[in-house]
Amino acid sequence: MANSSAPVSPAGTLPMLILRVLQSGELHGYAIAQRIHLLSSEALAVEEGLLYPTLQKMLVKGWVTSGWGISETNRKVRLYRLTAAGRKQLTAEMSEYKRLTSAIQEILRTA
Amino acid sequence: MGELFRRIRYLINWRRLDAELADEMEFHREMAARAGRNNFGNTLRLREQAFEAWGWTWLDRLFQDLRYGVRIWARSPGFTLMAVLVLAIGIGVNVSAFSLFDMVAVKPLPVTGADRIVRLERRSPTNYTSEMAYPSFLFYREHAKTLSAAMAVLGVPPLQIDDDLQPTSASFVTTNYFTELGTRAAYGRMFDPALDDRPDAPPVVVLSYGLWQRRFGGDPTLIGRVIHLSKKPATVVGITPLAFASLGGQHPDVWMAIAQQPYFIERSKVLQDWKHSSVRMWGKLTPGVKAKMTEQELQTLTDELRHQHPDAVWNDEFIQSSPGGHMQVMQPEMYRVAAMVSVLTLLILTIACTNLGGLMMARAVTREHEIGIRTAIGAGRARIFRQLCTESLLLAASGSLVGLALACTAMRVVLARTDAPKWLTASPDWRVIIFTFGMTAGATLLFGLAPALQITRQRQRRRLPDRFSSERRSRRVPFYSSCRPC
Repeated sequence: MANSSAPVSPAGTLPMLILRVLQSGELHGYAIAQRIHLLSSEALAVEEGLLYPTLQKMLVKGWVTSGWGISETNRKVRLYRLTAAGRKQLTAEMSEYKRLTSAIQEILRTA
Repeated sequence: MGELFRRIRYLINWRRLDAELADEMEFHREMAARAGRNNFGNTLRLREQAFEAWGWTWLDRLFQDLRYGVRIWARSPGFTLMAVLVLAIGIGVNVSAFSLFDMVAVKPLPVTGADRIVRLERRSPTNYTSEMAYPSFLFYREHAKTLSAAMAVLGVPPLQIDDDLQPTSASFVTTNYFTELGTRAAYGRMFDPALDDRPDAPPVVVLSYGLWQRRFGGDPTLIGRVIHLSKKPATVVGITPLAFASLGGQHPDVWMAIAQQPYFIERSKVLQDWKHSSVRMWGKLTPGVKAKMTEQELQTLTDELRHQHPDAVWNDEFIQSSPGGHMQVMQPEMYRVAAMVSVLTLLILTIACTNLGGLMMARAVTREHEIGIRTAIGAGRARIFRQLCTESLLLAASGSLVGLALACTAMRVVLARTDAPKWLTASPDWRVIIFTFGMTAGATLLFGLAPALQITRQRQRRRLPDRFSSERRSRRVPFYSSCRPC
């Protein structure tokens, strides 16, 4: 993943979280940020300054596509949808994340 | 691959997509404000970051640099004009020389199988001739398997047409000459080996397009009429096309078949003479055969010929083949001349560029302030360097455009003056264009690199003026250095 931060840091996991959140359906940008905020019991707040550039990078890579829809407030809004490549990327990143976190936990537990 | 397509689609639509993103972030801000959070970041910066994600920033910067470069050069029109002219002459001279060389030695003749045509000449360590005896030619033609065809050209002094006062240039060729070259007659027909190859065949003659227009007024009824060549009657069977390409750059106005030479030149025994070298020999390699293989085969044939007719062949003679599919058959000495000319023209360009480079270094002083401001607001060294190089490239590109135009004009004049064959054009072909690009890049490096390096380095030493402290520093240095020996 062409992200400057390490894969386990919150900024590095943002693409993975976005992909996971989109797995259950298509959402617009604000809804993605909201969903992440709520599902993490308000522990994680996604900065807009990180969200939109990340979404653009994911569009470049072809993990998500965008379409148009109507929001709850009856406004025309852009919706992001997961692609097949995105699903593959999600599985890959999730297994990588699990591998790294269990490795770190091992060190913290025994060292 | 798919990523490239997505990025190209973005490039085409980027304005619309950027507006959509602005709209999207506006929507996000509304929703966030409704939820009570008002800390949306800088929209413009986010849109810039989004644009960067698509990887076209370099293109954007390039256009920026080009626009800036045009403004800089427009600010000093006198300097710019002079620089463009100097570059135009330097590059134009090189392009002209290359164009000439290309026309003469590189561009293939517009005939069929031009890459397989070879010129065959007799050579030995002590002797050299560009012609061979006609019977030897027949011998080689009959026995050489590596040649799919062999043609001979026999020169003849100018002949008199009918009752003209001035004689007209003429030449004898083998009847397969036009068929091998794939020449299509403008009118009538060219020589046909089936019809014209026997000594007792009716005497026929082919005329050049130019002669047909000049002497016969372009009269189509000329075909089939009989004209007299030095008092010998012959039927005109055809006219060569206007853009006719012949071998070796020879353009006689009258073409006749070699087999009929004894008819036209009375009492001539040239065709049976083994000792006299009279005809120029050309050959076409069989497809897939290299010139080296032909030379080897001809070597064995030469040795065999020496056994049969010892007076027709020198000791240690061999047949040398040179590529014949260009306007001029190139000998090694000619390549040396071409190399010398190219060194000369490159020298002219180098001198022009170094002069220009010096002037640009002098101009660097006037740009210190501007560069200082740009660095102060955050431009990195690489950015400034790229900017300066783009300006130089702009100058070089303008110079080479003008230079190319000059070169083409010069070529056109040369072609018109020297009565060149009509198939040659002054318009540049792809080789000349690529050469011009190369010259532009080379010139940019020559005159633009050093000043750009100089300017980007000098901003490091002289920050925004701070004269007081620099004076103090300079007074301190001599004190320190005089203390050294103690």
